[in-house]
Amino acid sequence: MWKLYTVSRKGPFSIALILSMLIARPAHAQITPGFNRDSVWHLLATRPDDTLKVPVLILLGQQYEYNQPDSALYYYDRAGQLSRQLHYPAGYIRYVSNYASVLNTRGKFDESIRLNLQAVDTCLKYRLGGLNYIRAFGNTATAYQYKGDYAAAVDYYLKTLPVAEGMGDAGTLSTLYNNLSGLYRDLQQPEKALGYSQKSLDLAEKTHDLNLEGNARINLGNLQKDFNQMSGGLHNIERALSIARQLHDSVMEETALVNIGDTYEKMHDPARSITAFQKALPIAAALKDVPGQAHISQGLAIGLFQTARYPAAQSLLLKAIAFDSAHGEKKMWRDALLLMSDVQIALGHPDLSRQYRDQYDSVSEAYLNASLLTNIQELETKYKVEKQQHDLLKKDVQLKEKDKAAIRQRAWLITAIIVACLLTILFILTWRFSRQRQQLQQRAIRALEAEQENVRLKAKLEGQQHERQRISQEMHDDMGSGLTSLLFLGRSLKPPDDQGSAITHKIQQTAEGLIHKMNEIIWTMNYEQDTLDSLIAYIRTNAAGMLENAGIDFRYSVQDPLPQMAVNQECRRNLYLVVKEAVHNIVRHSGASSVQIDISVTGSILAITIHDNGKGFDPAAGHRFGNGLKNMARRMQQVGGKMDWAIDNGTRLDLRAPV
Amino acid sequence: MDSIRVSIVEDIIEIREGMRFIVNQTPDLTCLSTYGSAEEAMAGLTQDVPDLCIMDIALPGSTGIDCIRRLKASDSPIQFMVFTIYENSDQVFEALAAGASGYLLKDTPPDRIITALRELYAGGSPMSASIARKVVSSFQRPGAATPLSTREQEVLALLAKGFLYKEIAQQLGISTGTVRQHIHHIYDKLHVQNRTEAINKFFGGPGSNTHGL
Repeated sequence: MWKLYTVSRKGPFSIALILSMLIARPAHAQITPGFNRDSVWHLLATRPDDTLKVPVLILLGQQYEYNQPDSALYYYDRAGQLSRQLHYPAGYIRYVSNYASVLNTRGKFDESIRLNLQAVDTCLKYRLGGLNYIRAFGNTATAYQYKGDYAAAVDYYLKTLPVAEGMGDAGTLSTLYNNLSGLYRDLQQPEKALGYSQKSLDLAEKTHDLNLEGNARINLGNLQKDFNQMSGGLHNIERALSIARQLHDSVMEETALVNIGDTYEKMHDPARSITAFQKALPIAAALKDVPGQAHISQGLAIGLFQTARYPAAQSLLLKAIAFDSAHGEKKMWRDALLLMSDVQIALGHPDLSRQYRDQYDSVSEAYLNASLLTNIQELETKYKVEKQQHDLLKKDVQLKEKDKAAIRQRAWLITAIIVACLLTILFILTWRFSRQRQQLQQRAIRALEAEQENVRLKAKLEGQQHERQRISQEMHDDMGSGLTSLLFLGRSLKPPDDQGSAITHKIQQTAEGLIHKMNEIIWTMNYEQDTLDSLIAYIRTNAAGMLENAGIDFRYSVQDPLPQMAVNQECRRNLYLVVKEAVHNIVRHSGASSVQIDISVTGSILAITIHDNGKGFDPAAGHRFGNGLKNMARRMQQVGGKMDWAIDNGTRLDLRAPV
Repeated sequence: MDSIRVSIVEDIIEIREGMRFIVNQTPDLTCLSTYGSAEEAMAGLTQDVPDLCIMDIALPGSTGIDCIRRLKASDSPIQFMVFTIYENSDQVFEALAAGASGYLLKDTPPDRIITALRELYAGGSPMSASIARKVVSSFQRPGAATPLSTREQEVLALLAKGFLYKEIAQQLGISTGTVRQHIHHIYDKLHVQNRTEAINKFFGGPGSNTHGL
């Protein structure tokens, strides 16, 4: 157990290694008494492949672990395979704890952690408790501790702790406390470190296990020393020393003495330091503890140097340098050379000092190289871990990038969809707008066409009107003048006799009749007169004039007001002529003394009723008269109207025409 | 009693002479002068002023309407009677607006011509339904009160419907002579309106910032 003090100097690595092995194989030492390889082989050959064969394979592996670790791995592996075959979780966990411990010694911590985590999974899956649980969790913690992941290590140790406390195995529990203490020390949490160390001590005292108590006190003392609680530290270590002497445990005694020396050295009390080391040295030599001897010699030399006992220091260092050199204790060798260099200066030998200094440099380099070599696996592992972490981080970053890209893509997609929707809406609106515009344009075109048609018709109409006006004008101007001339010529003629007078009168009458007829034609052709008002007024004036001249009494009844309506030329002309003919007939043939004329408009039907109080007529009798009626009926038909008559206290004529 | 002096403007010699014959046959009518063109008439009528003037519209050179307008513009006291074949023509209305107070249809028998001349001299005028409508619309101006009296408006409305003077007289309880006098007054107001319109046209009309009258 000499390594304990080393632990206190170098950190928790070694103590973890040793203690974890205790957890893994609490029941077996490296070489189990009463066992030899031949008997194990025999056992192996005779045993069937059952669960009992697993511990045999493990045991065999353990026989090789120290000297032939590859062979050990082979047997452990077989134990693992068999456990899997047999679905034997406890066996599998034993395989893992042994295999992983070899991996740990080889610095393959990641592989070890992975394997141990599998054991943890198995443990949880099969709800294994007790020792299996402690092995799985504890060894995982140890692997993390090796790797330097103290937080994870603490986590797994703390998970192990309640089970271990429940089991009440003092050795295991003590180991756990010590490991936790060491971890907290490295995590710079003195209170927790001291707390667990104290727990370890309490456990030892409680169980009256002096061995455990000694080790616990050494650990606690060292912690106290490291946290500058010198007196407390010395007290515990001195107690451990007395326990060691009580138990005759040389290893513990040596460790305690060395630690006392170190403590005094730290307290700058070289005299006591020397005393302690001087007591430790023979024990170390007896135990053939090479590193211990080297460390003790160095401690002694420092003490002698500090107490200015240079020649003694020189002689001691000469022996130490030889010893260290011979045993390959490079660090101690180096430290001894450096101290020797200082001693030589103190002795007034600067040349020698330089020689030692040079030696120191070269050994230092060699030591550094060696330590570099020993640490290379660790470094590589750490590098790998960091690389993996870096990869993980990179993956994380990539994932985040991917997420971001996905978000960006989604944003783009949403934007694209929105844009597409907007475009679609825009397109629809544009389409509708253009269609509406098209429709409007078409409507406008149709309107334009209609207007053009209108204009054309209007132009045609205007042309017609123009033509009518021209004809009217010419008739009026030329024929009118001619007829008027004729009329006045006739009037100015002096009738030679009665016969001549009659002819002259006839000429005058004919001219007058022609002029009157022409007036009618001009009226008919005048588009300004194309209104219902005008037609009614014209009919009225002319009929009234004719009846007045004939001395026939007349009464008019005209609807008032008359609707404002246009009546085309043909309708106007025919209606006028029919009424004129009717009035003419009354004047010429009826013998009536009065006439009633009613004019009204219902909807678009113009109704004219002419009722005289004359003698009436027999349509069949008067041939000439019948012709006149036929003519009137034909005119009414031409304008889409009709004519009826009745003999009713005279003659009643009903004219109806659409206007 | 002084006879009514009548002048005749007519380019066709037969008609002119025939008319002169008719006028001169009547004791209370005298043909003062006859002219074959508007130009001659414009010169002569300012010198030798008749009471009435029978004016043909279609004349060589200036028209009868021009002649009436110019003479009326120089405040001629002559009462013009347009001589026309077709009473409803725009030209007749134009002449009436220019200053004529009546019209005479060319197919009018001689006795009626004389009656018409005497009526005009007595201050009565004829009016057809068609001309009545034109007169009505000519007095209808947005934003301006009509210068016509209610009775004149009534007469116009009945004329426009084709009522005979006799009928209008009966309906309104007046004589046909009064109807004719109303018509005469309507023509006078039409002249005034027409002249105002002409002046307004010349000077830019009311509201314009010109010299004014």
